[in-house]
Amino acid sequence: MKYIYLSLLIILTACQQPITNPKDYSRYLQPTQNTRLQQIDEELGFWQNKLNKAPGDIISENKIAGLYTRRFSYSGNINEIHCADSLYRQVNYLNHTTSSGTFRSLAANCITQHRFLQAKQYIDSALALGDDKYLTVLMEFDVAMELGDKYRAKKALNSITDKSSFDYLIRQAKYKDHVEGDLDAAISLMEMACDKIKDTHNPSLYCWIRSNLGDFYGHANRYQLSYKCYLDVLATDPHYYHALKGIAWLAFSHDKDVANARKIVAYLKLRHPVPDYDLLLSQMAAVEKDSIQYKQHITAFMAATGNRLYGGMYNKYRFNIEANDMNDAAGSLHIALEEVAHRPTPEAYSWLAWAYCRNGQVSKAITTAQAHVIGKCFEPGALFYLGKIYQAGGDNAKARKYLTTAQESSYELGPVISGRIAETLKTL
Amino acid sequence: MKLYSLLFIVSGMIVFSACDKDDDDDDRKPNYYGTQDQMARPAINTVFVSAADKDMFNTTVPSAMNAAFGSKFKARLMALNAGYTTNLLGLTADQFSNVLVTDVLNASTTAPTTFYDGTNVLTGRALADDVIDVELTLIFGGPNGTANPGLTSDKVNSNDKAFLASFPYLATPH
Repeated sequence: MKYIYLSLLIILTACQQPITNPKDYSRYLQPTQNTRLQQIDEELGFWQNKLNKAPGDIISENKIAGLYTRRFSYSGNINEIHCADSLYRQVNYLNHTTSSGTFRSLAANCITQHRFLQAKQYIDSALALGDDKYLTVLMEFDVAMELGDKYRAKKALNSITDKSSFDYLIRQAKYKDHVEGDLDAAISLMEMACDKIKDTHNPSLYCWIRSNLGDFYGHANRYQLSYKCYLDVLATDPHYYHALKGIAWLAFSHDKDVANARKIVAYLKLRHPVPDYDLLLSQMAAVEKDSIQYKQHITAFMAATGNRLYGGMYNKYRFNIEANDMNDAAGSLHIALEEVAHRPTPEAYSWLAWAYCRNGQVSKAITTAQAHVIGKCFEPGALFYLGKIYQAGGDNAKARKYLTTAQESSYELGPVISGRIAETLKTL
Repeated sequence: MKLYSLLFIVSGMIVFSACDKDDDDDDRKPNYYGTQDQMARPAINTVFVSAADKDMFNTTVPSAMNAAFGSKFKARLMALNAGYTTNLLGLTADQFSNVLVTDVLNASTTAPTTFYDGTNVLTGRALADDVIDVELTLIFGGPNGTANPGLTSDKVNSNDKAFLASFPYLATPH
């Protein structure tokens, strides 16, 4: 018995140990030359020059569009996605009957902007043309998943013949995680996919899978592994901001080290002007009960994400803020209805159910949850909404069940929401 | 000049893409390869194969191309030039489609290397050969190569940068 207590103690102490250490990542907070961005700019100059000499040359236009799309990941400038989109449309005007490639590029841009219905139209056109079907089917899966069409997604997945390929494994992982809620299986598949490409000297693919794996480990509360993934990515590309953001989240949500988390985010905000960082800073301010800072960041986030070029990219967070922080029940219902109309995923329905609840329509909220969310969506945010809905409906047992499950993902949800869960659980 | 009276050594460029089926680091396991794309004569695959057939054509071995795509090539030829009778090589629509559909790049070990130099036909392909003009002439130019003058040249007569005299011969990217 003594040993059990002892080992419990060790486990508990181990859990409280901070994961992040500024010594590991401080070198990535020093502005350094971004050689990859320079390379992109050099190539952009080259093709711009060609295009200036021969206006309307679709090869140059196609190249420039591809370069803008790649540039966006470093610059965060949404106008570059918009430029790429306009160029691809011009190219497609000329080659839409002979090549499906531009349809896929247009679809990829739509996915970035969360314009999934339009992405679906482009993919359907690419499928109808029929060339490079393998590449189109991969994207057919991606779009179907985003639109909540799990049958079409499964069909596309099944049609991939090489079940050990990177392309298959990463999609199978997504399916396991999103549709079946099997995070452990998803992680094994992602690990297999990562093993496949780790020796291929493809840094962008490596950074992509490794940082995604970092996110997956985080969702499974495997913090050390998650941290290691992000550090590996930064060692490969010091300007891979998603990995730095992941470390900031570890510092904030796990280590409760707001000072260092804020330091990372301040650096990111300087280098990579996307709205995400204001959202993170607002949560840090909330934890520190700094209501002025909190309000400033929320206002900045809402203003930035109101730009129509972002499409529906930030709807999830805008909904959350309107429903929970700004107490704008009508506004949140509007976003949820729009989202469900655009992409009827179980997660979108969880917003709708919560919006009904916030508007006082508790029974409608419960019916919506039962029809579209329960057993179909495993996102901790959705489980939180389910718990709150059942609490409002007076079913404390069910409320406790969903909130306790959501609480297991406290790290993923962050201190603000997990604080709300803990408070609610106390009152049940 | 009868095309098939020449003895050709047929060579095709087939692009293989590695398709690594190894699950672990076991070096003894073989790699498997699959054809993903192939191209021999410039623009033929691009122009004569529809988007819907593209994947199939790219994975069909040249010896099976005639049987699989011969009639489609002829239909496309006649769609491009409804007035086609014969061309500069004296080939009928059937004969010309048969030549085109087997998409390989021929190389003669004895004749000068050229796509077409007025005497030698498809004895190879030199860098400076104006292959698109040759193809357009054979498709649209009629028996004397003079019909449809507006359609028999792309008006690009040379590379926009001089080729190198030694390996790798191609001009540097610019």
